[in-house]
Amino acid sequence: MTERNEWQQQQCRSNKILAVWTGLWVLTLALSSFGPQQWWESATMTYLATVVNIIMGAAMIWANKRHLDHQDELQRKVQLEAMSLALGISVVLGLAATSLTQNSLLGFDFEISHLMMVLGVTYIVALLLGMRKYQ
Amino acid sequence: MKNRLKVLRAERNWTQNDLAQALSVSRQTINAIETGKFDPSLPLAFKIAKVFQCSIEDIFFDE
Repeated sequence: MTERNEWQQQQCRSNKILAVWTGLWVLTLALSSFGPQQWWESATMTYLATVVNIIMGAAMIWANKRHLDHQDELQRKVQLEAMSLALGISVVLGLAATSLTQNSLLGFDFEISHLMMVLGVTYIVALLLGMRKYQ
Repeated sequence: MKNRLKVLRAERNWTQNDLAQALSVSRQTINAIETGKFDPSLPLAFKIAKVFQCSIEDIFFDE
């Protein structure tokens, strides 16, 4: 049998494509966030950078969808479990933190970046646990 | 659900990787099916049966 079949090659390709679009999205996000403070003062430039960032984000979403399409059924199951756990925990903790903030009971300023960190960490941990579960 | 995947694979001297390549799935998926941690979908079960040239009932059975 061949060393690497078409499915494995396609999966490798979709991984790389997802990595490239994610990298570009992060880069344009940094540009639209820090650009107005560091490199330009024009509001038009900020709008333009934000539009480019949204386009990159859309491409990243498309690449992620294709990445999932190229996975096998067990990999999709692991991804689904990790995503549902990450989404659920983020929604519950996010709304709880918002409620505490509204009542001035949280010791720090709750921001969207905190939610993103919770989402990211939960997703990675859930993904690793899922991969280990089916090893 | 139990299966004879490991036995059938051993009879043909195939590694998990060989079978994974033939079915276009990951080696981890083959391992998970063999150890009973994961039950394949009907399309994948049909594909497995085709690779081993036998029926689904010859490979998978109720505990």
